[in-house]
Amino acid sequence: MSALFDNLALGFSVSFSFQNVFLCFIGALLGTLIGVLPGVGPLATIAILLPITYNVDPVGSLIMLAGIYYGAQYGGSTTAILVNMPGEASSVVTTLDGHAMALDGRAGKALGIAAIGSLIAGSFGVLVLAGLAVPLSQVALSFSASHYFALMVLGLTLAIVLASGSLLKALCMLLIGLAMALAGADPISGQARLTFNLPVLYDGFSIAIVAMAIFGIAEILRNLELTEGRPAIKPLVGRLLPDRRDLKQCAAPIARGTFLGSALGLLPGNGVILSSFASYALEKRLAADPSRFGKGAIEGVAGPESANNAAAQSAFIPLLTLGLPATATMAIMAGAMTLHGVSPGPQVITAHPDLFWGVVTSMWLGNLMLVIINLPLIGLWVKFLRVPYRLLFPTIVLICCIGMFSVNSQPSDVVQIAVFGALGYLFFKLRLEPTPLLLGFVLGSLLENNLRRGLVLARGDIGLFLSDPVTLALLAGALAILVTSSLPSISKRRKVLVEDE
Amino acid sequence: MSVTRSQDPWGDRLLRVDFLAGVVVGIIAVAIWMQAWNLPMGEIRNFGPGFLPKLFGAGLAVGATALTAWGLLQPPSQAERVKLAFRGPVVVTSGILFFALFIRGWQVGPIAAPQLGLMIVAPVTVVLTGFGSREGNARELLVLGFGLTALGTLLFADLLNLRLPLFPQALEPWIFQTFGFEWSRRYAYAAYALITLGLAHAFGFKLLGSARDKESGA
Repeated sequence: MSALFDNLALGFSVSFSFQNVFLCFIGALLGTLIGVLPGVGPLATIAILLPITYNVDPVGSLIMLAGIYYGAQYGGSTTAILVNMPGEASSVVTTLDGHAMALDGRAGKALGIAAIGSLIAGSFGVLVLAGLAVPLSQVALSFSASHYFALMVLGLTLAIVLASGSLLKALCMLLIGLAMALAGADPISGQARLTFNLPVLYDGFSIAIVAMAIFGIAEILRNLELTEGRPAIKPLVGRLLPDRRDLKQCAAPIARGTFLGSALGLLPGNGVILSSFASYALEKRLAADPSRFGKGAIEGVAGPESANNAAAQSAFIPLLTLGLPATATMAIMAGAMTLHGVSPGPQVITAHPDLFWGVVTSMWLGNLMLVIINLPLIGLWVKFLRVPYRLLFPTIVLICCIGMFSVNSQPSDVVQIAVFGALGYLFFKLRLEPTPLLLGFVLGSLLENNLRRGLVLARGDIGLFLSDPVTLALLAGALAILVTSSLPSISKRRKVLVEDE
Repeated sequence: MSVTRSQDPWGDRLLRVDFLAGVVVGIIAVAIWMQAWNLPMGEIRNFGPGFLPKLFGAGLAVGATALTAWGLLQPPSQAERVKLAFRGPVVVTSGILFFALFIRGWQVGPIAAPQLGLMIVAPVTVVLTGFGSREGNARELLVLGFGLTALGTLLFADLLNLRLPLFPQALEPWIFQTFGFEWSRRYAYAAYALITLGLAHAFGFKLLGSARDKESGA
């Protein structure tokens, strides 16, 4: 226990440096600013802003990215409450009661309880992360290459099973992502592969470009088809802070949402989304009068908002302790770590303790920052909500172009944005989910290395490779999940679950 | 979601989402396979650079076959026709490509694009891209283009000190000699800010709150 406090103290000493507090602040501010813009979700926000963190040192840039992530997430809740437009899937349920509260003139209270719930859940999530990090990473450090390979297969299987849409398509996208990861020089022989004879691809594809194009530009291309509905925004009336009665009413939902989110956030795929829906359903079931839900019940905001924030927090656990990103957002974080020369994995805690604990504690700081930034600035965010999309998207495109060009001064990087943007749009139109592609892309070379090392250690004997009980159990688990989820009866139920969302 | 009619001709089936998804995945599988063709597979004990690409390519080929078959044979009630827009994707990607070609000049095969620099490329990109939306309006986009260029130069080139080519290559020596290397960018964004204000005034926009005014009118 005291070791934990020592670690946290080390972390705070890093994250409370002037530079890092400032970066956390800027990150949370920029994240909220972009996240609040209509039609720009957290994933797109991180992807668009990734290049501007290049000039900072690794600790600072991860702190800033984490700040951007929370900011964008919170920005999504703000739009959900004020204009009934969820910035992303995890705040869909917030629209139900949050927007009803806004129509009722209680928008301020809804925003306030969302911020308070998020802060409490976030703080708890940081403790869970800090507590689980050391034991989990020690387990992971004892893993052999073949264990690691099997664990990755299991994680990726879970991610495609829990992804929305067709399982077959998710599997195809995963394979495309895995293949993209192999492009460039082969790590052993140095031979160029999958480069299509283009010298620029000798270094492989860049996660920053792929993410920016597929989640930023493609999203713009999709949105251009929608005719612009100007949302009516109610003037902000009512107290901004919940009163004592509200707090009393929300204490239990916040606590339940926090636990639920912390647990479900560990799931690969869409644990964050799942947790907010689960929390809403739970609160509705436990309520004395369920009919209030959907008409502005404050518990219907407090529970899911706490849950999705706690889950957003624990989604970091697989990445930081095992090096396995579980969501598209975490895949981008993993990419950012790699760009700074820190390969995500269990060795990060021991090799870069200042980075690890600094980032973890800055998450708590970031959550606090959100409350401080957002409550007074809410009027400003409302103004940003009114920026028409026809002016917004050329601005985002220009920021993407300048941002990506400024990284390497390579025009070909910008060309790749156009190409992958168009491809991402095509994927969307063909109902091919891009998230498995990104996960596969981030894990591809790790998967290859560990498989190769595992097979070398087993001297090429597949029987020996599989004889290890841990490897066998993990791979069997992956196979069982894949088979059961493709059985007709279960795939039907899975479809219902996905469509409910 | 458009549901195709029950006795649809085969031509209609070729436009189904699942069928086309299979075709796209198939093209990618073929591309991967062709690239991996000459790479050595190695042996299981120590597999070569070609092993996984070929494996993934083969997996994708199987997936593509299943998708195309399902797309052709699925009951029409589950089929969905693909709907692609052309204006947005074509215009926006051309805007990005314009930026890429002219920001610092680029020689691609026989085409040699000169460096035009951010001060010219950025406003053109904004105006060009803006027409990707049916609501694109030249006057608004001009004001936005000059304004964003002024802000972008201030932020990226001056404050963050990123190395971005700002001026056309042909004019660079003259500009740097006349105004100085450091100060030329400051004159440039100041001038663009003035142009923005001038244009906004000439077109009758209120810069802060134009969106709000329009909305309250609606």
